[in-house]
Formats: sequence, structure tokens, C-alpha cells
Amino acid sequence: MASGLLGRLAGISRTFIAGLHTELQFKTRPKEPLHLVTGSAGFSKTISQSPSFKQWTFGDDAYFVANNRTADVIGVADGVGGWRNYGIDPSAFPRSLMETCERMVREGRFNAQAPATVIAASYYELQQMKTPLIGSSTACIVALHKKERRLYTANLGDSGFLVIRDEQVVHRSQEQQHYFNTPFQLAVAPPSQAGLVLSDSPEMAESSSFDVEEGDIILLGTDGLFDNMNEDMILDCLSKMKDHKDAEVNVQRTAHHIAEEAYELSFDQDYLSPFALSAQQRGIDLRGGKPDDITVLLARVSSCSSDLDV
Amino acid sequence: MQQFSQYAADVSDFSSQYGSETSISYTASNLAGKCNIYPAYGDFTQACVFRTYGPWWKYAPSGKRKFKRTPPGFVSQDFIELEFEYAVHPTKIEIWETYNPGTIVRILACDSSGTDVDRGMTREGKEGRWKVLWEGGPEKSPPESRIFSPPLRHVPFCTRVLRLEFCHDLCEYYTELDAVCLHGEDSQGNYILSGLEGVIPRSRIDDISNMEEKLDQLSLREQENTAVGDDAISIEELPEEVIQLILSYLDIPSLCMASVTSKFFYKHCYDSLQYTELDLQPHWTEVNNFALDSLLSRCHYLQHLNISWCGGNQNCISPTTFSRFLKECGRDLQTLYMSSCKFVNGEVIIAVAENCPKLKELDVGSCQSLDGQSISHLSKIQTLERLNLYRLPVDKDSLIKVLRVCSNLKHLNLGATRIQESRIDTVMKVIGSSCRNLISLDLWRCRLTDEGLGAITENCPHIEELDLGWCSNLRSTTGCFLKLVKNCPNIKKLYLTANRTICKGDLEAIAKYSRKLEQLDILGTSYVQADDVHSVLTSCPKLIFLDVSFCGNVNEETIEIWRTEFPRCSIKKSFQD
Repeated sequence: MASGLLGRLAGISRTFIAGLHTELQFKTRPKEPLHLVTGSAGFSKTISQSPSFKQWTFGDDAYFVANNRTADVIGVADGVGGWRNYGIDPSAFPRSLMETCERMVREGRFNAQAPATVIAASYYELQQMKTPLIGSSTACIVALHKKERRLYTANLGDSGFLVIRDEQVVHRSQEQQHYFNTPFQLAVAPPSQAGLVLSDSPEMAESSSFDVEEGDIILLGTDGLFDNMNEDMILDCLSKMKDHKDAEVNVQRTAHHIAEEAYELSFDQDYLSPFALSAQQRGIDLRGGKPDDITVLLARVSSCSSDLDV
Repeated sequence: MQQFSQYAADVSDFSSQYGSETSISYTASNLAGKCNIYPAYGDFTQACVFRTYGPWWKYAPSGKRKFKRTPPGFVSQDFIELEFEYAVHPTKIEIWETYNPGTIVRILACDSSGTDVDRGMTREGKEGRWKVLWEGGPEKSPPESRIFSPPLRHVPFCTRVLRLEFCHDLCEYYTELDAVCLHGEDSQGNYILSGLEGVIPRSRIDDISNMEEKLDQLSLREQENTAVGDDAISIEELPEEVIQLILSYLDIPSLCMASVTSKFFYKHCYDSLQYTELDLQPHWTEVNNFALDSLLSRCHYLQHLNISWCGGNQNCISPTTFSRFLKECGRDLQTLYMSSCKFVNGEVIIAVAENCPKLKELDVGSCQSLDGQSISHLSKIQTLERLNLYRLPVDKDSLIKVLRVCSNLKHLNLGATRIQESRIDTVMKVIGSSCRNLISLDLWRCRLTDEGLGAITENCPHIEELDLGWCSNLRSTTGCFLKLVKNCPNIKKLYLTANRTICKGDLEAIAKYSRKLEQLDILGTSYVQADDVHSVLTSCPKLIFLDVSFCGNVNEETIEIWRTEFPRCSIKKSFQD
């Protein structure tokens, strides 16, 4: 709540400065479409869960990066690990979900102004597969409408995103949980368990949208990241980002840096992680990091000309 | 002169598809765009897949009437029409086949320029004209992904619309395609028609300027040859019935061409008895308003008409012309197949209802211009035995109105009709009360529940064929499948594709009660074990088709053993990797 106020103050001052900024830049920089320069990194919570490398997967987390003529889109899905106890691979569901989202975006079957619809559509498509697919996951999608220079988001569960401008968080997603450590989740249950398994409708996804500017940083991650690193720590990592010429390498390196740090902290048993703090607030005596699959997607909002600048 | 290579931008028409109308999995629209699957080989969601394959639908109780006079060269069963961004002279076409290849039998290109290039005249209206770029038989190809690129005939026009036609008789399983790429040049270039490229100029029916010469050479009366021997008989001396019999072997274009040779042939070829059965589907490229109007005078005794696929996107046939045709010729019409006909709209259905009082079989599947309510007019016809409404956006009340009067209905296809969940059970109940003689019922992707299924199984004991593929609201725990097999001992074909609840109990019941079973599909269920399936194989001696694809507990090794143990049964196991 306090951070919300701060966000607003930052927003007002930002507008004022931006106003000056744009006036100065008026002759040289018209409002051209923006795009995302993306990097991805992550770690599976177990080192060798499956021997084969699966694209766009870290353990039971899955993600995608896609673009079409209208939008650049990134998304994450955090698979619920409990399915492993029933002999079901928990990564199958989130991976198929993200793959279907990627395909829909790439083929243009995607309304950039309503990313929640692509979550819903992909979820229903999963049930059209001949192979019986069982599992559950969260879903969080962030889409940049290039021409509008506007970000549209949809979130279901406890994965989330941050939007950082001038080294401050200006937007963040809201976590959706039923109770502690039980996020909202899309699910397809085995027929015998229908009704007994927690399954939230895709319509429960929360949407938001806001304008973005060149230089804004978007961080999309699963709870493996946010449960181990608070915002200040993330901002700290990001502040070290500007040092490289090639924007893509920059973003990629920083994503990896953040993921690595979260990974290390997750195994630190004395560290008072955000997860531990949250548990303690609920009367659960917990300490240390939270070992979990970690997925970090980092994107820098750029215009075409800025990529050419040093 | 610029070279273009372009993938299909859009799928503008198709005869059938496996996936549901609103999905992107296994649907015809997947053929547009770039490759998603190749070089992988398997059953993937990103592929373009048709509704049927192989001979299984012909063997089923609902197998359709075979028309006489179908030219043996015409084997097409499905088609798909593609639009490209730029019109080019096609030089090469590549088709990526990623599962069970070898089904493409014809490739056609559409000339929508409005000018008949052969004659240099402007055609009436904006009719499109189709030219065959390649044709060949279906082939049994090795089970691997391939790029199919046959040699193309040269066409003197630019095109951006292609049609592919398929025959999947030889397929082991569904044929699946990934993408199509059209290569061509935007201008004629230096190509000169030398006449040796395989372009077979078809003599037009109305182009009789050469005929006079040929007629002089022909001699029907054989006046000069009477000296040769008195036993030389001229065709005119044969009895009428024999002449009619001889002519009945000609296909329609040949019959029409023969009719212009002489008055004698004109009289016999125009005899209405030659036109009791008319299969126009193989000639869909030629059938237009003019052709229909010309045929009108000959078709007063018409009983069976197949005009499927005719008309197309190019507006060659208008609803008014066809309605006029029906008014003149519908009196004795018993069979009317007009699937995938763009011109079939409410006006045409009203014409059918008013002019075809003896109609027994009607197929209007995939008629895109037909709205949900028009079919209610069909309630005027009380003699219907077969009704195919595949892929139509059927309105529940209109359908009920028709079903209530169709007590003779034997074959009903409501596949992919998207009747709402809350309403389909009501429709089933009406079928149960009105259509007790039902033999086959296709409910592919219908959202009925066990209540609706119960209405059918309790009231239609003669049922032999039931397609409940992808009916996701049917749950085995309600006992609906047990009731089904107990009440319907005559069942020969039972498709329970992608019903994830099928379990051991259901298979035990099938083994016990369904002794006449010939075809069974239980794709995608995880609850059955190999033993349960084996008991069905042993108990159903007539089983010739069994699909256990994506059933997790039945593996390939077990199936190989079964294939030797039950050689008469074709056991299908599709795969994705």
C-alpha cells in the first residue's frame, strides 16, 4: 500500500520530468513503436530431474517469448509439483500451456489488448489434444502493444511481474492465493478426481494495462524468484545492468544474474526470505530460503533507434 | 518478371476437419502459414487433419450411396481451398505432409480474372475458372514426413487460389499436413506454349465448329458398306433399350458430347431416362448456371442427384437457378447430396422442401451459407431417411421441428453442429420419441450428457452405429455406456474417441453384450488396461477396426502381438513422437 503511494508519487514526478524530456527531444524523437529486448534465465529446483533438456522449461516452470506484428509477448507458468505423487509429470501442463500461447501469439490469433483471452483460449485448447493432459499451473502474461506503447497484462496465481522505471517499481502484479502457498491455478484433473482438485477458471485472471516508456524494465518471474528476493534486492541487481553496449546481451546477463542470486538464496537456511517472512506473519515458524524452480524473464522496452545507440 | 515464394495466407474453404470449429488443434486452418511440424513425423495438434480416413466410413452402416457413372479417375474425398497473397503463374508447389503422406490426388488453380484466356472473351459475371495443375492416384508412401512437389502443368493465367483434393483410402491413419508453399512468377515471362506440356485442350460442349468436319468423316448409316455383308448392323437398328444400355456407360460429359454428333444421338442422349441418376461432383469445375439450365429439360425423372462441391467460392451457381432446377426436376427426387455447396441457402432449402416430396436422403454438410433456422422448412418432407447436417450451426428448435415428422429417419449426422450444452439433450429426447428406426447417429463433438444418451439408447434399439467422439460431457460413472451396450445389441460401430472416462467396466460390458461389434474407437483413455482391451478382441469376432491410440496402458509391443493374434482386426495406435 505504501509502495502504491510511492509509485504514484514517482509517477507524477516522472510525468513532470518526462514532459521536460520530451520537449527537449521533440524535434529528434517522434513517438515510434516500441518493442521488447528479452532475456531469460532460471534454475530447476532439482539438478537432474529429467535428463533431456526441454526448451522453455526450468523444472516444472515453463515460459515463452513470442511476437507478431502488433505485440511482443512474454509469459510464465508455474506447474504444481504435487502431481508427481500421482505419477504425472507436472511440467507437461505448464509447458503445453506456454507452447500453445506462443503459437497463438505467433500466428496472430491473439488480441494484444486482452492477454487474459489468450490464457483462456490456450487452456481450452489443451483439452483438444488427443494425448490426455493432466496437471495444473499458474499463468502470467505480459504483452507490449508496440504501436500504442502500452503494456497489457493478465495474471492468474502467484507468478508475477514488476515494471521498473528510473530504478523504481512503478507497477507490480497482485498475487492470487486461496491460502498460504496455494495459488490460483488452471487445472485439468483426471476424470476420477473431477471436482476434488483445485481448479480455477481462466476468467479469474486479473488484467491490467498501462503506458510504458523507452527504458522501462519488465521483470516477469515465478514465485521461485519473488519468494527468495524482495524488490530492493531485485532493483539492486538491475541497477548494475547498464554497463554493456549490446542491449540483448545486457538483458540476458542480468536475467541470469538475478536468477542465480535467487537460486543461491533459496538454499540459504538462515536467510529471512520473503517467503519465510510471509509464513511468520501467518504464525508459521519458518526460516531460510525457499527451494523452488526459478524462472526470470527480463525485458527492456526499447525503440528501434535506441538499439542502434551506444 | 519476379519470382515469388509464398505460404498460404488463408484457408478459404474445406470439406471437413478433425478439430472443433473454434479450435486451432487438428483444424483445416493450420494449413495456412509456415511449417510448424516438419521434419517431425507424427500426430500433432498443429497439423491440418480431415474428419475421416481409410475405408472405415464406407464399411459402416451409414455408408453413402454409390452413384453410377462416376468416372473411375475421380477419387477425391476431401478438398481444401487456399488463398495466397500474390497472384502468380505457378511454377512449383510444395506441400509438407507430416503424417501418412500420399493422399493428394489433384491440385487445381483458379483463374478469377474474368477473361476466358482461351477464347479471349469476357465471361459473364465474375465466375472463376479452374484448371488442373496436377492429378495422380493416391499412393502408399513410407511413414516419414515429406515435401510433396509434383510437376505442374503450365497455365496461361495468374492465380492466388489453389485447391487441393485428397483421397485417403490407402491411409493407415489420418493424413496430416503442415504447410503449402506456392512458387511462381508474376508475369508470363518468355514461356511459349508449344502444346507439348501436357495441357490437354478440352473440347467444349458448345464448341461445335470442328464437329461438322468430323461428322463428314463419320458414317452412321453405312450406306456404302452394305455390299460388305448383310450382317453388318448399324447402331440405329439396335433396339432402343440396348442403345440406352450402351449410353448408360458413358459419363455425363461424354454423353453431352455425343449428343451433338447427330440427330439420332441427340434424341437418345437427351432421353430423360439417361438422367435418373446424376453425379455432378466429379465435374464440379464445369457445373455452372448455364449447365444446370441446359440439363433441366432432360432431368424430369431425376431420382438421385449428387451436386456436392459444385458452385464453390466463385459464384458459378446461383440459388435461384438451382431452385428453378428443383422446381422442374424435383418431383421424383429421392437422393440429394449437396455438401460443401456455397449456393445452398435458405432459398434453396425452401425449394427442396416445396419441390421434393419424395426426398429420402439429404446431405447439406459444410454448406457455409446455410443458417441455423432454415432447416425447419424441411419439416414439410415426411419421407426423410438420411439427413446430414455436418458442421452446420443448427438451431435447436428448427431441428426439433424436422425431427418430429421424420419417423422414418435411419441415418442422422449432427457432427460438429455446436448445439448448445443446455439444449442438445432435448434434441436427443425428441430423436428418442420420434425416430425409433434410427440406424446410425453421428454426434461427433456434441455436448450431450448421459441423460441425452439414455434417451437414445432406451428408445432406438435398432441402432447400429453411434459416433460419440469428443463428447466430453459423457461420464462413464453415470453408467451411460453400460446402458448403451445392454440396450443396443445390434451395435456395429461405436466410436468413443477421446472419452477420458472409459474404464474396465465399459469394456467388460462391450465384450459381453456387443457381439456384432465391427468398429471400436477408445482413443485417449488412461483407465483401461491391456487385458480389458484383449477381452473385447476375443469376445467380438467381427471386430475389424480398433483404435487404441493414446491409451497410456496399451503399448506398441502388446499391439504387435495382438495384430498376429487377430489378423482380421486393424488395430490403430497413433503417436506423437
